[in-house]
Amino acid sequence: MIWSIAWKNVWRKKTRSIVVIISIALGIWGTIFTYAFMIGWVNQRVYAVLNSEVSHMQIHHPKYKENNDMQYTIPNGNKIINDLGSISGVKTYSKRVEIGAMANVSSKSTGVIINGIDVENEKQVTEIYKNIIDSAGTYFDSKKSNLIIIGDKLAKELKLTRYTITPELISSLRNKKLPESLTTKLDSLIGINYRVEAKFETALQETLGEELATQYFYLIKNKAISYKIRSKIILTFQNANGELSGAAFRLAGVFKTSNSMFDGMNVFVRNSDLQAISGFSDQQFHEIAIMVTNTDSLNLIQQEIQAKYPELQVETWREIQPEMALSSDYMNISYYFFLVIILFALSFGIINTMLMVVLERIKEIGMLMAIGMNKMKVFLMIMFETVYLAMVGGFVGMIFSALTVWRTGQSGIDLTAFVGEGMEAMGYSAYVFPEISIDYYFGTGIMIILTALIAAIYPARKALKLNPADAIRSDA
Amino acid sequence: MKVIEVKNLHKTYDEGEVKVEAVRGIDLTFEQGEFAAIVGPSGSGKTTFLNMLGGLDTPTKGEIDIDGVKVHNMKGSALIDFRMKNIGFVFQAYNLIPVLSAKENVEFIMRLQKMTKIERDTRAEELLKAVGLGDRMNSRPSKLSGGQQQRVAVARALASKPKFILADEPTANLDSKSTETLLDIMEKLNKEENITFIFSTHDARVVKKARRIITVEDGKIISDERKS
Repeated sequence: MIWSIAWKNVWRKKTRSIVVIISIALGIWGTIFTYAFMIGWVNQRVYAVLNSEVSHMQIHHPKYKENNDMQYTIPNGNKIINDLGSISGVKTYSKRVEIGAMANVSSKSTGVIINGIDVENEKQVTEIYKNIIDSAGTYFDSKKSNLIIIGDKLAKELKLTRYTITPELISSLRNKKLPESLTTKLDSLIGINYRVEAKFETALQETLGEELATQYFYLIKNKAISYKIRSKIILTFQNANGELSGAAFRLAGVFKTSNSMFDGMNVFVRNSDLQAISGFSDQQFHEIAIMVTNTDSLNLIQQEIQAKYPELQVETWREIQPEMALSSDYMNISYYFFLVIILFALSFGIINTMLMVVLERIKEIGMLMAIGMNKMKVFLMIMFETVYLAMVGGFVGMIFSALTVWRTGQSGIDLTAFVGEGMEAMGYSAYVFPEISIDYYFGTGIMIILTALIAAIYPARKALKLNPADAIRSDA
Repeated sequence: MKVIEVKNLHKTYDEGEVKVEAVRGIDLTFEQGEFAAIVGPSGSGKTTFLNMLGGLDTPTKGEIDIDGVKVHNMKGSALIDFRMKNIGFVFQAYNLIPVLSAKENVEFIMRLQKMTKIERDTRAEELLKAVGLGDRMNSRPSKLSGGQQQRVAVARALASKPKFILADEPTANLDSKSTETLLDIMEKLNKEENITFIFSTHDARVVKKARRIITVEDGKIISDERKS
């Protein structure tokens, strides 16, 4: 009975209740969506760390990581490789030779890390092969020797790119419904090749005007870029004997991950090609990358491998990239911290509304007490009203959050025009796919009910303090 | 049969340095089936007296005995429970629950008494028919006139089968036609069902209908007349 009267009371002043419901809904929507965005952002970074950069676990010589000194190869590496297959929970693994080198093209040179890999094994632990840019070569599909895969950032640095406006590009911009004034002006640039991004940007600014060029530069640039596949890149480095060595490699493909720093530093070559020039044998390598079947058992597997090879350094991705692990863990804690702040602010709105409710109904509450409604029932009635109000607001907020997260999680949020390169320089993708687990919705629901219960105490106590005789004769 | 016995009833309000004696030694007895009006000027103490009779206020001194129960000693939930089971209230401003229909308002007190749904339905319908609102059972208070709302309040007061009904200025907000209808209904219930009504009023029409008129002034009874 009390709960049904309380529900009817919520709708007694519809406008006021709807205002409170909307404010709660907006607060909840804002909190959930903001966090879904951040969780999606961090999870994408974690995914990239696991699947492009670090893998779940790595094994090194304990001194290797002090200075990346290439003499510290993993002792008895091939035996370990053979043993890994028999460890329960280990899914895939790949060995790598890592050598610091200079990459030279005719006009430019820069420092890189050569990753000598077994192509098929590497595909099992990293997804670099999936990140080869369309029309930018392949991932060692050719059987030819001395092929090299480099990142988009390095390709730009070595000027192995060109920017060209083509009729197809203009047509695709028209399909995206970009302003006709822009596509018309671009016609004058058709067929001109620009080797350097800065010069292409200047040409766009002169043709389109500063405002249009700034607004659409990132979009046009990504469509205009092409890579000089099959270009020759000379790698020079110190070999295993401490002598200067080098060889020419042909550019086979260009990859792009969400981490432009990784793309600018890492090149991939076949281990067999590297052995021929580096002086390292098939038995010598610096790193074993491991993926596991179930990440929940990552620490157990790490302990098992470490116990088996106490002389080696066995680290999970959390130890290799502690700042990333911290970001991931921090998300859970900070969500509830942020939610508490939002709900704390909203609770004042709820208290104010419920206080008005009580003050407006003094005569009615007095009558209810006079005819025999005890204090507990009056208290519960106010409590129920508050909880209903908050629950409706919370439910609406969560439904809208779920819809928004689902929709943007499908399509992604494109931040390339705003902070694209800056984010990629920090390793974060400029396309964010918001996501949030259902646990957060349950947690949020419980927090809303708790907030309502706490917010209801003061108005409900106010109602309890009423004297029925005085209340009945009041003006309210 | 004696329903209410009041002995040497006092009520003093302590308002800082000033003490206001609202009721000063009232002795009264009400029999079953009385139709009594307590009259007196504003501030005479009649509402304070009525509140104490109804257990809404506690006396400073004196005794109130309702059907053998010493009400003046009761407190908290025992007093609330006693009010619910023994006393019906009709207020000046009707005081119906606006979100409930007429029938639900009448049923409300029966729900508090945990009556079954069949009992509640039957009694609420009977009572609303008795006050002439058989066709307005599902109307909310906002759709009823003042007179109709007060008749719902009377039906609600009767719902718990109380020992008596206290009506504080029940006609103060009503026009003459509604007043006449309401008084006729209450008089009929009094005569046919032997229900005790005690009014506090200024209204000459109520005084005219009442069979006992108790006049209060300065917190004391100055006359207690019974019509033949």
